[in-house]
Amino acid sequence: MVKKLKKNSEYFIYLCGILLFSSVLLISAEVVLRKFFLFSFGAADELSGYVLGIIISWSLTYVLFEKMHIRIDVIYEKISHKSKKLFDVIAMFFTFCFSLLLTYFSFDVVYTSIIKNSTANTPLGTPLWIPQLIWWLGFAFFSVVVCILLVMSIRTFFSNKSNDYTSVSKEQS
Amino acid sequence: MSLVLISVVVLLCLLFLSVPVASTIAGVGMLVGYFFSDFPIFESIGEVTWSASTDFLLLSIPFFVLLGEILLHSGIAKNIYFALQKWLSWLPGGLLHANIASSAIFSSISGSSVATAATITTVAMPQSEKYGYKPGLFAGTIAAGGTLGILIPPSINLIVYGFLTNSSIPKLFIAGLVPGILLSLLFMTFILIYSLIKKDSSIVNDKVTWGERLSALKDLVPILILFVLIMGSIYTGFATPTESAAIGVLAALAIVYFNSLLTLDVIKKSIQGTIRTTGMIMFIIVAANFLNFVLVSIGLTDELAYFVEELEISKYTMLFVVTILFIVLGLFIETLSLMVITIPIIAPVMIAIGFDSIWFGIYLIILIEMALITPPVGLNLYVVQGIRNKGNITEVMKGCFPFVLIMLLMAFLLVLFPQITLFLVQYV
Repeated sequence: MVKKLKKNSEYFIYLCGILLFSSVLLISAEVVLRKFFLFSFGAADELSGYVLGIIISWSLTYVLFEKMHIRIDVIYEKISHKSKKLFDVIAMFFTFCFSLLLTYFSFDVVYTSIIKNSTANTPLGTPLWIPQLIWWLGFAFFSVVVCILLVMSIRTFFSNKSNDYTSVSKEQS
Repeated sequence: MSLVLISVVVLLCLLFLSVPVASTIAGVGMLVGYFFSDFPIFESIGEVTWSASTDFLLLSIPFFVLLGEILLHSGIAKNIYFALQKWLSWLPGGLLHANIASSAIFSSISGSSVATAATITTVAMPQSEKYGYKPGLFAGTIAAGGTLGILIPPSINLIVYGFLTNSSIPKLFIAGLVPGILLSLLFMTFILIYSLIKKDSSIVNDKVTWGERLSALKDLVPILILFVLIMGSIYTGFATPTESAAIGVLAALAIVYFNSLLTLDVIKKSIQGTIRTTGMIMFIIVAANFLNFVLVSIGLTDELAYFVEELEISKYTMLFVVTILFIVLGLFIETLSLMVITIPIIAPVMIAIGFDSIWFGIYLIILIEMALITPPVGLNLYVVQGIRNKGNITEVMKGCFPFVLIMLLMAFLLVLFPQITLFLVQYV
């Protein structure tokens, strides 16, 4: 299952990439039009802002699998195999706490927007819940994956095996 | 003050337990918020995160990363190295100059000192063996050269500083330009003098004709155009930093396309690299932004500033203390993390006791550069060592040591002559 989630997180980043390139095009077009034709969509900033939010929340899982969430390993490198597994559990636990809080309270943001029917204070007047919901789903996905990895790291701690998902670096056996 | 101490202890404990930096920072934010805030601060984490993660300025970070990735994966970076080799190898010290110059140029455009160190090592190391350079110093020049990019604009680290301290990005960029170039020149001067004294025979003897040099220019021109385009569009008021980054990405795509290097694979790898780096950086920034919010709302930053003011120590004593603190922390903590942890607390204090926020930003970045090449945790050291894959890492560390001293000299020069950074700022 974890493998499948990992694969999925890779698909998401290509979607993020497409979004990113789109906002590059949109912003560049906006700059040129504004300067030479005194014309503006008036939405490039706004939409690109949403793109950034979505990229951030949806990239977290991929970054987790790629082990790019920075961990300071000065001590980690010098301790026994068993202690390393304990450190992994601790690291996963704190990441889980953060992701859970983030998911919980960012849902508040979405929920408030839905209830109040908030729209962006821009010419486009985007109903805010749309980008916010996509943004929130990224955090939710991240929390689910972190939760699974937390369980995995605990299991690993009590077994003799090791797992490649929760340790600090990729080469760790 | 006990609050500060407790937070710092918790922070360091979690960090050294190898808890991911973002989670650590957020954890400290929540702890402080829970115990010391009069209103339920957790509930604002959603709003605070939403506004940070849709901040138009921060969008420039993935753009600059993307720009660098495109140049990196298309192989343009390699061409820069060989072009500079043709221009600089006649100097005493030979290829070492090409290492510094190409690292400086490429890392400033790509905004990533790690990617730069990796790329240049791959290209340059075979050359080192071919011409018989001392491996330590050779690797050291690449590791140290790669750090120059975070000072020379456009720089992601400066954007992060600007975001956290609310300083103007165009001002920071222009302020970093002269110290960045000066530092590169100091590096090269050192190599020159060192090679002359040691009578190092390892000078590249291949005769390079002026024809070859001129034709090598075509590899340098694109990167120059890119630089002028990005900086020019900011300073003519044509575009904001984020917009200029977007234009830069398009221009980079065009350059790669006209060199017939644009393939689907390049795009795919660039996306992967960009999302990886962006996710990593932004998760930390989102967490740091939350911590920043907590510290400001409970009034800790103000309190700390008053506290330091009341100590009535001279501002240069304070600067000295901060410098030592950064050097020590920089030994153990990765650089971006170091920046986001310390800036929200230290920068307001330094500004309150009379330092210019732009000047302090540049000064800080030089200390951060130093942290990139000081053991035991110096990312560039490991990147270079990982790729050259032979010899011992202590060779690289030794090779970097002179450059650490030069950086210290540069920091000292900044204190003596703040004009080095601030001279150009007045024109922005």
